[in-house]
Amino acid sequence: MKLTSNGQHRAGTLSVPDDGFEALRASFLERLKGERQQLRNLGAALAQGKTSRVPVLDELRSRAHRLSGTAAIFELGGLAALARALELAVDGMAGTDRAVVPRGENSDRVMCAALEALILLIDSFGESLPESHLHGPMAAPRRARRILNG
Amino acid sequence: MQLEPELTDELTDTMLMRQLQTPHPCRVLLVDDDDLVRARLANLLRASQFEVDVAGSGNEALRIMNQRPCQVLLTDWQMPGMDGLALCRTIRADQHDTYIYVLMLTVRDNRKDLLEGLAAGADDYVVKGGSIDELLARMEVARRITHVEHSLRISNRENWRLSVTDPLTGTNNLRFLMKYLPRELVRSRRYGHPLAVLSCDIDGFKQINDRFGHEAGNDLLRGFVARTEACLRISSDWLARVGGDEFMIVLPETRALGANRVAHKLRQAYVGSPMITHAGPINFTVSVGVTAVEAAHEIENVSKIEHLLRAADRGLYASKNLGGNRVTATPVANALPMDGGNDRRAKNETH
Repeated sequence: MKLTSNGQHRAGTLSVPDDGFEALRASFLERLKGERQQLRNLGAALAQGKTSRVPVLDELRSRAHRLSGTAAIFELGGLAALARALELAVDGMAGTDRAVVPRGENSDRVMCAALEALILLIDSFGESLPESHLHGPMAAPRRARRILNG
Repeated sequence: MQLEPELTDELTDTMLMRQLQTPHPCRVLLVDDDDLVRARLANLLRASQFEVDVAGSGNEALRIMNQRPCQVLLTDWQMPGMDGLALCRTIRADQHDTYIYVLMLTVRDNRKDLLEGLAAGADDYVVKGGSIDELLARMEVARRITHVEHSLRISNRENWRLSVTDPLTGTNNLRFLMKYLPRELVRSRRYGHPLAVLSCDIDGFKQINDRFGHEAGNDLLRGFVARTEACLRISSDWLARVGGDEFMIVLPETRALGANRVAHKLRQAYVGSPMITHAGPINFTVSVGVTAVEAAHEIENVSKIEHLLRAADRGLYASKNLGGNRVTATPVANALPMDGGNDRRAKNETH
């Protein structure tokens, strides 16, 4: 049975052997470095406004969606939630019917905040964090949540 | 040893319960565009005794399913190319030999998405990020349901087989004839191909039964089926027991000449060649009536199997009336109703 660093059972404790989990999660965390750079590039492209926003937003939404799903499978709840927040914020900018924030100046601000918070969280994975920071609804670092909430 | 029916039922129930309780082989097709997600979930499923195939998109999933059918499809929603929703709809629109249980696993967590997923044909919907134990528990539900469906399908198939099989001889019965002869006729009319029907029975079967007993009579019927089947083309011809010792033989793609040849071969197969029974070897002969549709106008006019059956029966009765051990061909036109409902009279050709 896997325990978190503070002795709590990991979320979704398994009754079956979970072979290869740690190795696969390590691969995912390694992949995050490249993901972080891609997110940064997309954010910069949007900020500069040199290219059409639509393909950039599509790419950003797609990456956020995939990141959210993969993080959830690897039990990184905070990361999954922030990536999902970014995906929904991009929907707001693109004006899709799934948007939780109406299109407009405010939706731009929310999207930028979500993107920044996500990048900050990914940055923090490079540091040595207790596992409790990685899981559950309160896993996102306080600074990231502060940015997201404005 | 014969078990009491109640005891047999109880044993069957216990076996069924045991079958339902033990993990059954279940092939899962796991579809996700992320290789790490695929690897993680495949590990978990294999550790739970599922057989797992993986695909990175809806299109790849369909390709794999064509090669290796699965019982459960565990699919992501958003993927490049064909997404999980389209995959789900495609699977439900296609005909599959067995039911495919679809579990959608996605980060889309609002009610509208859930309803859309279920409407597309998903059986279950799980949001990524929930407990892995819950996901595996839902996969066990999928395994259980697909197993029950599989058992019912096998049971239905067996019930159908029994309902069209003569229990004594193991050949087809009247129900089979009434279901499949119309299909043969439809095919014959559609493509303008000939179709022949033979009606035959064992001469003096009642007397044989009275003299040698029912057990010997049953041996005779079983032997008749085996010997008759040896005279037919396995790939296309078939026979059905339609009464005590009455049989119909259906010969698709066969003209009257060919049908007569088969009938004579059949008659000769019993002449001087006794059947071994419980009561010892018994000699017997058979009478056969033959009819066929082969000319375009016949094929066009014969719309009911009754016309064919009636014509073949007339030939059989003619053979019997002339002492048996004969083959009589009757044109199908003889059995077609005339104006006023009177049957046309025509000459039978007896050999």
